[in-house]
Amino acid sequence: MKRIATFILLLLCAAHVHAAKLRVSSFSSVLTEVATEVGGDLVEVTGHVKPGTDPHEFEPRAADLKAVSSADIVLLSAKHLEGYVGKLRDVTQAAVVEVGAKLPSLKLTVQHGDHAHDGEDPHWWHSVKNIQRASRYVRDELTKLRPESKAAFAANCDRYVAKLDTLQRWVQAKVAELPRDQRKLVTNHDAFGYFAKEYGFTVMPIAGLSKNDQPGSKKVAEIIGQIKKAGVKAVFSEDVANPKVIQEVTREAGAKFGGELLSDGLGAKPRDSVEAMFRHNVTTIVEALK
Amino acid sequence: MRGSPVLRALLVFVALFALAPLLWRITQPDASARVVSGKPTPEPAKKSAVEGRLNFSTAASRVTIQHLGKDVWSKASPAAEENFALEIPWPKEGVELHVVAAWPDGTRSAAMRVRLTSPDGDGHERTVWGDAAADEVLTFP
Repeated sequence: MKRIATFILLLLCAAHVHAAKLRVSSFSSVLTEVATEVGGDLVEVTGHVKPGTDPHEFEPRAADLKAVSSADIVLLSAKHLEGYVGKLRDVTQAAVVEVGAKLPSLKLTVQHGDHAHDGEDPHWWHSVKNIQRASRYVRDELTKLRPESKAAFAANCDRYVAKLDTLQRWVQAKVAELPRDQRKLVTNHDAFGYFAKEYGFTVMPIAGLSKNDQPGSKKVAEIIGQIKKAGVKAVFSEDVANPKVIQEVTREAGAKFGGELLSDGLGAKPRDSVEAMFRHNVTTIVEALK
Repeated sequence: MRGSPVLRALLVFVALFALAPLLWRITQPDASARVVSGKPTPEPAKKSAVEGRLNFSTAASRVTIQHLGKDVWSKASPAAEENFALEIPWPKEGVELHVVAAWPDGTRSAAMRVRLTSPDGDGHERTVWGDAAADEVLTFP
């Protein structure tokens, strides 16, 4: 009798363990959405980099490291965006998945003081196809941890990928309203390489323009010259970090200020979803360049 | 210094006054010039005649083609082969057409081939596949 009771107790404990949700720690607002959609009811996702915050500036705090130490899986954007990955590996035995490392890379010129070198462009989420690829990778990683839930993860992933297909068709149709010779994107943050490749744009980042640059400076004059030569209609910014310079650049170049774009992940509410991010960015870009 | 300083000063003033009309004339804005304020109005893009042809593997119930967000061709129950003509700009970067096709319910793996002849005479083909419907943006070339 005692043996039967022990056996039943052990069975109940095993069932409880398997019913417990997988704990996911995500350091990308886009991957937080991906994990939530693909994992569904089977996961509990902690998004450490909140929508509207700059992942380039993020550093994990003690509370973040504590959550990571008890996570079953950690998701990173990768492509060298998270310089603190070593700190995360130090506090967890869980799989630290650099999702972006599995995606094809574009090159980016990285400025360090007075010199520059080529690096990987980390902004892969500006391509709907990349987000679909990332969803499949997350599905596969969750399935490795919970093989008995393979069918559920696959169904959730298929549903999310189909939703992204609809978004992709909208993006392509909206972009098609803009003649291909007008697709020149001038921004103050070189974050739209993947977007440009997927949707037929040329990107002209205003490289090195910072909050400290002054109107009338030589650097600003060079930028104005480049924009004039390219015949660009509108200039966009990630945030209005240097409004006087943006004003001078747009006025002297004969262009207009096209608006602010969400470049480093999801925005604050109501733009805190992949769909809202794309609809905002694409509408802003197309309407300003028409 | 020889001579009277007053006389020398007077000579300088006379020289300046003599130059005054010339200086005034050359610094006046040209009356025939027009000051252009703001951006010059961009010229509308030059349109070209573009020939198009559609071929269907299965009879479609409706097809619509858009260029730059506007309908440029639309037909209910098109024939197996349809020809059409467009007047659209064709920059060196190419053109895009947004095509939407619908087939009868239950149709599987239907295809619509879109062929455009560019202003330089080159032909470019793209194929759209769908079951009951297809909605795609095609880039030429």
